[in-house]
Amino acid sequence: MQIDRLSSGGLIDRSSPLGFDFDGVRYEGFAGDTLASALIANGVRLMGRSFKYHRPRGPLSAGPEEPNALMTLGAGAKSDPNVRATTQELFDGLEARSQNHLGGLRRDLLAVNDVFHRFLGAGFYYKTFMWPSAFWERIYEPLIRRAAGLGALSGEPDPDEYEHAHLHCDILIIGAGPAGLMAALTAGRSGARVALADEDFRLGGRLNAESHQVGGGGAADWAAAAAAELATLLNVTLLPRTTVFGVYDGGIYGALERLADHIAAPAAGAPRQRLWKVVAKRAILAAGAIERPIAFENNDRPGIMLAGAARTWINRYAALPGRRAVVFTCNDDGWRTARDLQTAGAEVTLVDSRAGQAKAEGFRTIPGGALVDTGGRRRVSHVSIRHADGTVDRVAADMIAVSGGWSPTLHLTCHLGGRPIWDETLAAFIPGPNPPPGLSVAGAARGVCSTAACLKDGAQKAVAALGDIGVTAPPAGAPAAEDGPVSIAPFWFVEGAKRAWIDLQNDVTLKDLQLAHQEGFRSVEHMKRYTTLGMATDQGKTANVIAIAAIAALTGRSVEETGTTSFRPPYTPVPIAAFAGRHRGGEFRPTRLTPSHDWAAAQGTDFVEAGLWMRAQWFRRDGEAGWRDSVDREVKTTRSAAGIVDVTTLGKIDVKGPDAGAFLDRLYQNSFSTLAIGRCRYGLMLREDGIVFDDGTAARLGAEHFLVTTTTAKAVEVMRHMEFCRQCLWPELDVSLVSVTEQWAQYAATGPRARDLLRKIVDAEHDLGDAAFPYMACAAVSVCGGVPARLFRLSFSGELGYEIAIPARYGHDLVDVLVRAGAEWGAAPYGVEALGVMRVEKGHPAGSELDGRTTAADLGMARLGAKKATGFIGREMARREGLTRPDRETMVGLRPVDPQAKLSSGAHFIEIGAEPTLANDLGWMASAVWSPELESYIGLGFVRGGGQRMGDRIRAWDGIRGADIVVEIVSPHFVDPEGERLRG
Amino acid sequence: MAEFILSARSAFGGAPARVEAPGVTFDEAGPRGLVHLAARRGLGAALEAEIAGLLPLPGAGRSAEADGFCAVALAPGQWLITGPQEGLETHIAMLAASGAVTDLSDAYVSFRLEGPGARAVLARLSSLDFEETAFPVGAAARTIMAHIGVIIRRLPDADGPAYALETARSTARSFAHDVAQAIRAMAASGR
Repeated sequence: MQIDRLSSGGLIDRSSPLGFDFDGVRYEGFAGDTLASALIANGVRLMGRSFKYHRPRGPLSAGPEEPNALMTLGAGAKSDPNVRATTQELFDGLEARSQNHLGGLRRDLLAVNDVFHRFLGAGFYYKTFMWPSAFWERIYEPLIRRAAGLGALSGEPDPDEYEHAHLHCDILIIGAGPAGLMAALTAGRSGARVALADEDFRLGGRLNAESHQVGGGGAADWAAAAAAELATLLNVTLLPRTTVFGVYDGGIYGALERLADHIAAPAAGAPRQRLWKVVAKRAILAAGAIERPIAFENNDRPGIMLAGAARTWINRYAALPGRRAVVFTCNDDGWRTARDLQTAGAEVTLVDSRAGQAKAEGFRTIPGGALVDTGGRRRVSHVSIRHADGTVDRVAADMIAVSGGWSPTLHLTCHLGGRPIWDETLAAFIPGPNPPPGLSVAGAARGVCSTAACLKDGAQKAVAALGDIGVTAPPAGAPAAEDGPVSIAPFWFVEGAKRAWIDLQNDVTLKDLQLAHQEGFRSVEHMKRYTTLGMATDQGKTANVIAIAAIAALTGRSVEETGTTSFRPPYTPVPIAAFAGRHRGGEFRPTRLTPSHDWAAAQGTDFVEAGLWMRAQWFRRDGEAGWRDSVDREVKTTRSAAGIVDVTTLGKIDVKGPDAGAFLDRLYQNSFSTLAIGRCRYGLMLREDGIVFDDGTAARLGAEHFLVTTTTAKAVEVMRHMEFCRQCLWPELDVSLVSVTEQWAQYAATGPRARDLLRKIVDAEHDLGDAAFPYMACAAVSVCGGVPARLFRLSFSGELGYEIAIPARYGHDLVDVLVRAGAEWGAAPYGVEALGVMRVEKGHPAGSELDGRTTAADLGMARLGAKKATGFIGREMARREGLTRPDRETMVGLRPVDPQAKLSSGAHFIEIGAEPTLANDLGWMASAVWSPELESYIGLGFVRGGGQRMGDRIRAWDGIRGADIVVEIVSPHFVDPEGERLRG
Repeated sequence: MAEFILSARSAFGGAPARVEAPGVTFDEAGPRGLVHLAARRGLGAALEAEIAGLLPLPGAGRSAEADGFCAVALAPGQWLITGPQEGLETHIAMLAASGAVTDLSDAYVSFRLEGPGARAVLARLSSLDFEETAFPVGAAARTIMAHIGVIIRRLPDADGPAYALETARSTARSFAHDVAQAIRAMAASGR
């Protein structure tokens, strides 16, 4: 039964009834209702429990500033906590639950907290749960969190879809009230690209909530007509249900559009919310104002609401918030509420804090009065009124409408560091002189009060903004509207009140502020953090100004001197899911696939991420119990016959031009201009600070053409570094750089049979004999009957090895051909794990050794390029004392005395018998593998003065994995130290 | 040798990239040749003159098209040139005495996005402004969509605006997946 629904009026569609559930009870509302307005129409006032004291609460406001009526919508994975019932559009089948209670909403067991409120003031937890300190994380905090708080997450993955979108416009108008609509009409008619965003589902702002006339008709009718005209303009983008939540650099605004939150069964695949990045040349903030309450004793009971909200319930939703109403105001606006309440049929008593405000309006008025207490548990039932002469009488009431004045919604003007300023006549903060560049403020958001003035201001601000971008346009003609002055005498809290709520969402009372002051807190920022004032989902939208006034009174300063806390984005809560958009789970970031990815996948490969790349880790064969079996087999196959590995992911950069050699000389520690055409050379690149940056090979394909390779991990960084060097450091060099990583699929064929294998693939005219194509040779060849390719004789494994590069389109087929060609010798593909084992066996440093701390000397490569005449990046800094001292940790091989003792990377080295302390630390294990060749675990590590300690025994101590293994320091070249195999 | 034959394969293997929805089509474009052309230091004007017979080398943010060839400005003194799949590198290298030519035919995958809804799809993927005058026919940009590098160029209108997109081969599937998602979202939400 919609017992509090007025029989006529309102912007609801009585022909569209909508059924919904609240706490398991079925109700009915109408299209055009919010969840809160439908509940009020159904006589429901109790909609939640307060944060800390679990006091019964009903809606304070009718908009996004709502601190009390927060609910959880939906169930299971779809559930959405902390939804403001005052903004949630009603739909058929909506299911809502109240939050923050133990047992039912009506009989919350945790309401016991309110009985002990005396002990639960500001800072209670900090003071009480001090001892024992170990209890805080494990016992106290979980307990407190369970008792206090808002709604809970489902803990399940969010099944909804979210998306990002970009919008470019000349003028973004934020808010579609009287000022915003007039600005949009002015700008829209000029032909400029306009976007008009409003968080409401119905454009019009306060025009939809007032009973007065605009342009000779109803205010809401004028708003509807304006919105209808804007909808016909192709240059205007209307964004209802869209909150502009933040201002960012360069005229960029963040906005959240709720696409499906008002729809019972959204279309499959339709996103729930859209995060807009709006790029606007100019923006007009026409966000209106938020009314604030007055603090008086027990001012938080259900049925106590803002005066403007009472008018919204009546005029927009045709819901009567109470039949025996008391209006408490310090300004003229409260009188409008009294009139509207009376027109709607309520019995009204108006208490005005200002003396001498006793006009005959047909309802009881009490000038110079104040509310000093209220009663009623689940809904206010009576109120104690103190008259100007000091007498107090008790009046029965089922609602109280409060107006402490209006605070401009200026949050967005502060997002880039602007500060609001205090306006004494308005008793409000108004936008300061430093709003974000390109943003102007119109209407109530800058303290303009009357409807007529807001309409005019919106049009004028649009004319000015258009002028800024070179568009001349006349202001849209403003319709006639009320233009009454608003008189206000600031009145923040009732003298003598203690449990007078200032921040309803965080349960912060006047008493808490007094306590904080008593304990020495003075700054508004400190007060905020000690009492939690102005925090949580509403960010103190109704609380901040009154709190500042209370702090000012406590500290004996003015409101202006007290100042505000900072407003930061977002203006209202934005789900993390909306920021993530489509980029979550497996789509968190793109993946890079090599041309033979599908081939490898068909082999049953396990892939591993290497940056964005997916690389084959090993190729599991039938009968292999674990990964080690696969890897051992791949290593043995490669060392005894041949193995094929995908090395496409290595970075490849074409360096071209007459100065290509000189360019590389400056880039690498060693020399490249001396490299013969058709040859490759290992190269080591240092950072400017002398530490090793990256390594790889460079091949000279022509007089003015080098091909540089990088590690997979550093490919992008090296390219960026080289471009920086080319463009900024050495613009005098005639050289060009192109990344060709993506152009070439590249495979290494390695092992004693590698040459035999390649002879079957490479076209016959190319001589692969050792004399014609020796170790470190490179050449353009053709394969499989004329497909152009590049062949390099390189080896990372220490075996006879070749790398063959082919245009990417042939990569898939080439790897298959290589494996088939090697089948007669048992050749097999191998993955990055076997690649890692073989390079450790060979003593080649890789990412674990080039870890950003090691120098060329640490890696045993001090002499690389030592005779070079020209300078190179990092040379001078590498000569620093700390990088050249003799007792630096240098790279050595490590073998456990017991070959089966499993070495681990990350272990620290200490002397046998020494305590495992930092002072005794000799270095660290960088890489550790099982070597099938040596039938032993082996490792590469860095040992202090390692080069002089060959044959010494030390311990590899790993406190995390509980290992303590005696190892012998050996040469890092475990396999074929003389390199006979790779030159064979 | 007959047993070892190499066939060219699309980055999409057996699962085509094509996505359609009312008002928009997205698909992999046919094979083409693509080279990177870099002017030698200080020889930009000479290079432009050498190429002028084929097509004019465009300035920043623009592309130029002539006789099946197209050039897109990438950076000062650098262009991507597309043309016939066979022999493009040799052809351009013969003309470009004052430049360095590098074959990138396989490095990028070429797509086409077109239809009245194409802008709504791009708005979900790119922070650039694709409005008629901001990105007219012939405009080109090197940008990022869904974390992936893309070179986009506005083609002459077909059924609504049409765009050619080039993205690295390794990320082509991720990119096509993101575009497909954007198209589905557009179709489901109606704009």
